[in-house]
Amino acid sequence: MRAIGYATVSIQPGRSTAQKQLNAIRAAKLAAMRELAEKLYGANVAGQASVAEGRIVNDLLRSEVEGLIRGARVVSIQPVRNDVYQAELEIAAEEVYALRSRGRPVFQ
Amino acid sequence: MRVLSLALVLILGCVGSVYAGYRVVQGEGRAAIAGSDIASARKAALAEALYDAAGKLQTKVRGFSVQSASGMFREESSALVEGRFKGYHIVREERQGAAFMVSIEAIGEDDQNSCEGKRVDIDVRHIGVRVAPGLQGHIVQSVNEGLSRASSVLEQGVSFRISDQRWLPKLRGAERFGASDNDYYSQLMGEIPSAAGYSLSGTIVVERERRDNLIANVTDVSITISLKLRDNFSGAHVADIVKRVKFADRRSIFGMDEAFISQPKVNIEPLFDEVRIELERILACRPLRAMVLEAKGGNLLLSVGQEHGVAAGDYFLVTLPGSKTNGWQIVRIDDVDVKRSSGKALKPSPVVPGKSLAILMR
Repeated sequence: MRAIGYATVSIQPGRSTAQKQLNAIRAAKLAAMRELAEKLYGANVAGQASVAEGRIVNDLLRSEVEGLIRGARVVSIQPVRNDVYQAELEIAAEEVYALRSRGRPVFQ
Repeated sequence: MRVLSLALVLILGCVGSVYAGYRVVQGEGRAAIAGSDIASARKAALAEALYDAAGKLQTKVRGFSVQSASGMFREESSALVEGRFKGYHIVREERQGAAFMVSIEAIGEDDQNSCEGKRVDIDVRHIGVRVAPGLQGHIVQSVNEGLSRASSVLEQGVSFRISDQRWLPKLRGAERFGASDNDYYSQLMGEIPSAAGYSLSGTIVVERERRDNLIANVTDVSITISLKLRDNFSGAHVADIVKRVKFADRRSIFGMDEAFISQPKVNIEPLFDEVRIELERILACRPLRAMVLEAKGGNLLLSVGQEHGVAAGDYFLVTLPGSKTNGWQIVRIDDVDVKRSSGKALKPSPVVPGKSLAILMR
């Protein structure tokens, strides 16, 4: 199972460019990990849309995910444009099976 | 803050669960070099690598996102890393431009130690029978017959395999060094005591119990199995297993000559079935251990094989007590026989000597 996450370098905290890049890599990995959690356990999605006189007046989409990830491996981390880093993670099939068989975790 | 968290993680590693499994995880960390302070960057990169490795053991992820009517998208994600390490070693460290990179390999403790798919060895040693005088001959005979069938009852265990060595005396503690007479006899008979397994020995006591009341004479036959489970490697006492059963024997009214003697049919197999269940409870989640039988260069022969649930590609952890920090080695199994397996040490050092103890990391 694979997932990809992206993060922008320039908005990261840090005194130097190197620090910002490293923080962007971390953020991209976390985004990929979140996607893995969504793929593994699904997400709670709630949406509300209102139309008045044929025109959207209110549209709200909200999603939540919660999951336990084990054994995630970094496939690649690379800059995709000047200011964006991409991280790709994967979990082996047997680990996916083990995590799914444990069921969705309940956190405090 | 992260350094403090890592310190906590490493401290937790010292108080890990006894029955935790182990797995090898890799971690990589990078840190920016501020000015020319490489030492600080290296420390930060190492901390990052440990954090990365711990994340592979277990990471709890939470995410939240909202998209509003105006098209504003807000997303928050958090990751809580939890991991315990037995040790680590640095595989690679180097400066990469304005950053310093450290790559590590760590032995992580895994709470998900599997309780299935592996079988430990139990040597059933001498089980003596003590019979109270005056008991009927057929009771004694039934007990001895039941004892002879004990192995076949215990062999039904799924998390252990039985080696019937009841003709051998009790363990004396020197079996693992191949120095005792027990080893000599057992090797002659082709039954080598499992140095990395367990042994079971004890007694069966058959006695008569009187529970008289005001009007009646009530006598039962009581059979008690008292077994000790020992660790063959350390000689340590692991558990006492005591099971008891009673059979009605004689019933008579005081003052009357007539007595009801039930001629009890004594069957001790259900008692051994209870022993089997108790052994499953004690041993099922214990890690599978193996003895290093031969060590030549980096090639090792281990005392467990297919019958113990070992498969090619499994990893064993060998800790070397008495050596300095990080005195551990990883062995990858390449070839598996029925009762033996062979593999290679993954690190150039430390060198694993023969008769070391290896633990399956699964």
